Amino acid sequence: MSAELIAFIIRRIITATLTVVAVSLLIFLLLQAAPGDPVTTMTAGHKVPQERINMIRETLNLDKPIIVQYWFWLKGIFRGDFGMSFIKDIKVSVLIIERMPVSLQLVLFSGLLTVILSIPAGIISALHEGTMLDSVLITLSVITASSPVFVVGLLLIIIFSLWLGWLPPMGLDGLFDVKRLILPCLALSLTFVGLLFRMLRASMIEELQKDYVVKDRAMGLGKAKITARVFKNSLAPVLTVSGFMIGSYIVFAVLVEYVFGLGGIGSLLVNATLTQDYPIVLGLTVFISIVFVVSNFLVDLLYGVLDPRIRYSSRK
Amino acid sequence: MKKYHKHTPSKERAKVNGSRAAPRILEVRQLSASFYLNRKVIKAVDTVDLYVDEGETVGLAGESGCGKSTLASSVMKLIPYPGRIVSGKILFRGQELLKCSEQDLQDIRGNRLTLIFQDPSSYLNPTVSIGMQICDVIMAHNPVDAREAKRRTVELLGSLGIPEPAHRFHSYPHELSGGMKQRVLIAMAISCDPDLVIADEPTTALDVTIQRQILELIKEKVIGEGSSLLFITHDLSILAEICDRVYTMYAGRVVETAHTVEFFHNPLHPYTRKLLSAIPRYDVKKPLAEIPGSPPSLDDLPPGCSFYPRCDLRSERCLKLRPELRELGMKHWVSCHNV
Amino acid sequence: MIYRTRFLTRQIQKALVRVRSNHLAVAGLIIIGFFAVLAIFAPLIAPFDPYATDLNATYAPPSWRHPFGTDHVGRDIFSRVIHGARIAFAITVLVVLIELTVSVPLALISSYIGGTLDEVVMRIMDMIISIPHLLLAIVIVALMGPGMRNAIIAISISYMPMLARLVRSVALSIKEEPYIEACYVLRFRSVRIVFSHILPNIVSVIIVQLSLDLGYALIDMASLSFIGLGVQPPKASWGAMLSLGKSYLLHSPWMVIFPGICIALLVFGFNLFGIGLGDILNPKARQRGG
Repeated sequence: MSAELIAFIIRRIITATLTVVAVSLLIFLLLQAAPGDPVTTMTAGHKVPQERINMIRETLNLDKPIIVQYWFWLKGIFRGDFGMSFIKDIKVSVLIIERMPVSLQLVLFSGLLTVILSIPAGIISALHEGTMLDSVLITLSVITASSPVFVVGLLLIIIFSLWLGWLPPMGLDGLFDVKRLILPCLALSLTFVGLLFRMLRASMIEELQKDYVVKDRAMGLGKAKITARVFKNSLAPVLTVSGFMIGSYIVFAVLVEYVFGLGGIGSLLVNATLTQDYPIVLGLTVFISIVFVVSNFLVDLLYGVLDPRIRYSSRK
Repeated sequence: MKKYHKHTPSKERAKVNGSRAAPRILEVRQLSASFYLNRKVIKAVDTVDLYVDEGETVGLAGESGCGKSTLASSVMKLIPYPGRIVSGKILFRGQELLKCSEQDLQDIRGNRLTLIFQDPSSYLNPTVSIGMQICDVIMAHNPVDAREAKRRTVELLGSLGIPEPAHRFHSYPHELSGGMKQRVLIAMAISCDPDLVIADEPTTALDVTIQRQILELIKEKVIGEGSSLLFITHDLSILAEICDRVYTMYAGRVVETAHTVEFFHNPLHPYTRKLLSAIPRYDVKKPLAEIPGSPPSLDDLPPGCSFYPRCDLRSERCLKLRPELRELGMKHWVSCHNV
Repeated sequence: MIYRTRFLTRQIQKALVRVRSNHLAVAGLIIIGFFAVLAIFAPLIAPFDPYATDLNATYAPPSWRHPFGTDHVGRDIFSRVIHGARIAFAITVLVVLIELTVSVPLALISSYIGGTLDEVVMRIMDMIISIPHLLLAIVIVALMGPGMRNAIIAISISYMPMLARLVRSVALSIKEEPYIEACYVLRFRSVRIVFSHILPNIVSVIIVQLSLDLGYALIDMASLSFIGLGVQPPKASWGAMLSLGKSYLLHSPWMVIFPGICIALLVFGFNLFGIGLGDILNPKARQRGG
């Protein structure tokens, strides 16, 4: 744990925090910019008795100047309070906690699947550059990368549930319900497998041309060890690409949840937009954005650990 | 499973073997290697014969692009794509390298036959500490654990003149100067007490003052420890200083070879003579000699002697017939028709 | 002025030749062209009116009369898919146009002038990027009300920062070039410098990014329609068709299969074209072999 590493981590934490503030500001501004006043927005389309409206006005501090409103909003976020649904009469944070396990399962297992599928494929393709196997893998990757998640998801359901009858189509039955998780996870990961695979392959091919690989071979190091080292050095661009993809990944997870009827945070978001339950929509957006920021932060961290040169150069 | 050779230090081996007729450390017979690029065939190495005896230091001189580096990578069988060894034999202590399996080659490389590269910056892995890189080599060829490997590495770093070796073990290549990096490469090359070290222009990429230091280091640590050395360079003065025998290459072929003293006192091949006369001297005032013209492109070599267009002694015969190496004196071989 | 125009036309000519020889780009163009033809000649090609319901032929599987089957109110899916191509193109082209006309000048001017304006613009862009773009689009549309027009605006807004950043970084590096400094010394007016000198060099980068954005815009638009926020029924957009079809997935899968494949295919076409274009314009960046 060198001094540079610690300084690097601290800098990243500060950036992440500032970004969260920026996000909250953006959402807040969007709310203000929406047609009508916030109360109308929040209760859109629903008949709400007057006392309810007054209570809402108070909760949102609508009588106070905008800056103060924002201040309370921001404070709330840092305390984990993402607002409250007036229609369902539950705090958004409660809903999040309730539905977290489902979303977590989806996201984590998909991520695992993506890594399991793309990394070996990328390495093999790079080592066998130009062969038939390589070409086949590349073609597959472009095809999967361009198909939207929900299309893939729906097609998977059609193939595996309807035609082959192997797997149940929707819903989720408690934790680690593998049968029901396979299809959603597969749908979510395929798009990214394509992208990651190609990135890893390109990166490794370039790295394999480098002189130090010649040195390693000249010194009689085993193929496995050399490949492992080359792989480690090739990860940087892959991580960068992953970093850009996290946003899409999270949102696609939302779509997948909707397609497969999983009761997670994503489907909550979609249903809330359809029922015009804006507190949930906004609260979840802030929450998801924070998840996004934190993920980026972790990726940056990983980057710094893997490549020592980065720790020095990221000073502004 | 790795085979760990039972290793006798090279000094002792030299003493023992020197008295018997033992296979030479390195014998290259009629080696040809070419690069195949975009329908062009570039003959980088053309039927080269070369040998290194036990405990000898042999020099290989020539301009850039004459094929010396390709020869070095061919010996290690590490020629990069799109190059290929076309024909010939490489015998390392009697073992035919070109017929060895990849596993056998891995055992030999870095262990009994090692290479020192020209530009240390690009030949070191930038994300691994230099100490670990040396340990890698030690552990690949010796049945030692990590701690012992580390101990040996630190000792090695120290003996090569790197200050605070225990601390420097953890440094990354970009934290070191050019000279230090080259010391690291040398450390790697001698770490397993090799029989033969091939040094491919190890001083060319360094400052002049550092060049001298590195050269002394090589003298002490490689030659001094009894390893044989094949030193490749375009700097003839270095060869004069450390080599027992010298080869000159031009356009992929060996044009002259002799013992050092004979070579420098009595150069026979026109190219060698021109090279030697081109060395600037501080004691004699004369204009800087140069060889007119430029080296031929290796994909379009003439049927006769490649040096023809730039040679003083050229004749009709040189144009059509390629000269072979002839012995023109005590172990002094030249490939020229007109000497 | 004339000199510069001729230079540009010559560049375009050279580029077209290179496009023809790049197989990826050509393949992509073929696919895109195919759908474009469908889109333009939709009313002529489609056998049925996409909005015409036929309650006697609901949930009909694919047949000669209805090659792609019918939906829950008896509309011919084949015709709807063809008309869907129209909407797909209209939307993606609009999004890209808006993106182009707003963020490129903004980024150019901001990077050229520098200083506080640049800082402010960049901070705003950073703020927008801090939310995943599809999510931002969802929120904007949710707040503005669902519909095609709002969806287009929302997606354009969410794409702007990326293009702006890209343009800005390239513009900044070009700004340091000696020939720009020469323009400044020669007292060219700023507008002229920015648009006549910096812009042409950025064009290749912009074009590659835009061709990729076409694909992404299509996906995002379909996603929005899929969750009910984009194109509203009874309009025949592929995403909306998927949204409808989802409810009947298990007994009328054709409602989903055909629009879905079309989306994937067209995006594939855009991607191929974008990759091919990238190869042409940046040959160094391409990986070896393969």
